[in-house]
Formats: sequence, structure tokens, C-alpha cells
Amino acid sequence: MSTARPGPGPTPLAAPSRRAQLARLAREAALATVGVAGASAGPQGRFATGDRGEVLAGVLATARRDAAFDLELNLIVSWPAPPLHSLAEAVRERVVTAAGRAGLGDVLGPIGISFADVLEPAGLGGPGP
Amino acid sequence: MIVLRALARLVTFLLLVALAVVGLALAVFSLGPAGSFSLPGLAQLVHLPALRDDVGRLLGAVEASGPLAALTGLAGLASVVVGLLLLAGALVSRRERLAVMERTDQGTLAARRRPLGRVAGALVEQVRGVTATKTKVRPGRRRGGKVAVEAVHSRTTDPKQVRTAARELLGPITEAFGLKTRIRPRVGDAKQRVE
Repeated sequence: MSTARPGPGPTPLAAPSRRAQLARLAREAALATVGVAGASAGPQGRFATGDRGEVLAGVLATARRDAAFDLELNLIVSWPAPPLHSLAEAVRERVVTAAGRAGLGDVLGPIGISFADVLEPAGLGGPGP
Repeated sequence: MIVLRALARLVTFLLLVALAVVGLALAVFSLGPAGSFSLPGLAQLVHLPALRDDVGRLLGAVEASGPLAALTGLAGLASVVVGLLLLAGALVSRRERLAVMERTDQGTLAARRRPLGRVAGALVEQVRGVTATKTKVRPGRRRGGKVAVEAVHSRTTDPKQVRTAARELLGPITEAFGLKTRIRPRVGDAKQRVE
């Protein structure tokens, strides 16, 4: 009697790490905020998190000693730019809510937000590098 | 600092190329058993014995007091300075300074110069009579910094009013980021019209 063995086909992807889950969730929550036009990895590509071969640009999740993760978001603001402080607060609130819903609230550490650029309408010049 | 960084990269590249060429030459000449195609042959080829004699003479002249000793001292000093500048270009942080809005346990809120400058410019352009703006943001080391706005206005507009109104409009962002403001009203050219 033969036992079923996995064939030579493509291996299924492993489940994402909590770090990657949190980074993806934070990025999506930030991009869904009105006033945020995009996320940038930055000129040196510092703001990026790897997730099973994919690079999540614009978010850096760093593990802390207490098993939580620091999040750093590098965002591009849409034009006309809304007040930056309230925009940052809105992004932070969305991330916290999304993490709570996904059951990742306990591993969510401080959320740093930096505005990297503004996405200007065509004719006024695009975002810088 | 940009020039130093570029210089450090160029020097690094040139040194690596020189190192690669020397390494390749040594490797190739190491293969030869004897004669001209060997390491002693390579030394003859690049005139190493003559160079040794020249360096010996130079060191002898440097040891004695005289104009050559002073010149060599100066050259040594210049080399040290160049080395330090190259080190600064290679080691000084490349991270752009951010204007920090808030730093709490919840995290840091910050902005780069460009979005901040664009927002400041857009706010000042709302002042009646202002036709164009030019902004420059210089974040401080830890917090705060300076924002300088050049506001181009029409001849009929009072520069004092421009300054006061611009300062008022910039209030929310300068307070949030702890920025000092400098408004410089300037009468525009005849070609620039108020929209």
C-alpha cells in the first residue's frame, strides 16, 4: 500500500509571520486613509518589510524585546495636503483599529509616521525620489 | 556634504579598480616559473628597484632640515585633512533630517522637508496679493527648525500685511513642528501677475 507524498510541484507558501501580517495590515490601513496617496520605501529603501519574497514598501516593522513590533510608516500625502497632524492621528487610529480587529493588537507597539513627500497634480511636478 | 560623499565614492571606486588591477597582475605573474614572466620580473617591469632608490633618497632629504622637509610636512598634513574629509563623506549619516512634530510613547510623527515646504508655500499663497512663494525648511537636530518663505507680491500690496498674514496662516504648522518662521516679502517682476 502506497502512502500519498507531496509531488515535485510548487511548494505552498508558509503562513506569514506576525511581523509581516502587522506590516501589511498597517500599510493597507494607512493607504486607505483619506489624504494618503501612497507609501514610499525612502531614498535608501529603509522603510520596507519583507513578506515571503514580497517587499512591503513604506512600512518597517521592527521586533521589540517585549515581543511587540515597532511600526514606522513613510507616507506620501495627496495634494492639496490636509493638516499633517490630524492626518497622522487618523492613520494611527486606523492602524490601531485594524490591528485590534485582526487580533494583533497585543503585538502592536509604537507607530511612527513620517511624511515623505506630496503627490502633486500633473503639471506641478511629481513626488521626489 | 554631498560633494564629500561623491568624492568618497569616487576615491573608493578608483582605489578598488587599482587594487583589482594590482591583484590581477600579481596573480598572472605568479604563474610564471622564472625569467621576465615572474614576480621578480614584474618588479623589474615596474622599476621597483629604481623606485626604492628614489624613495630612499627622498627619505634621506626629508630627515635633514630644509625646504623639502617643510614641504613634506605640509603635504603630510594635507593628506591627513583629505583623509579626514573622505572619512566624513563615507561615515556621516546619510539620513535626511526630519522635522519632528511629536515624539511620544505612541511613536514619532515627522515630515520631510519637501511636504512641509509645499504646505507652507500653499498656505502663504493664500495671502491676498501674493503671486508666488519659495520655501526652505531646515529641521533642527532634535526638534524644531526654521522655515523661510519668500513671498512674491504685487506692487500694490503692503509687505507688512503680507508678513503678518503669512505668519498667521503658517501658525498651525509652525506651532505643531516647533518651527521658527522667516517671511521675506518681495515685489514681483512686471511679468508676474496676481491671479
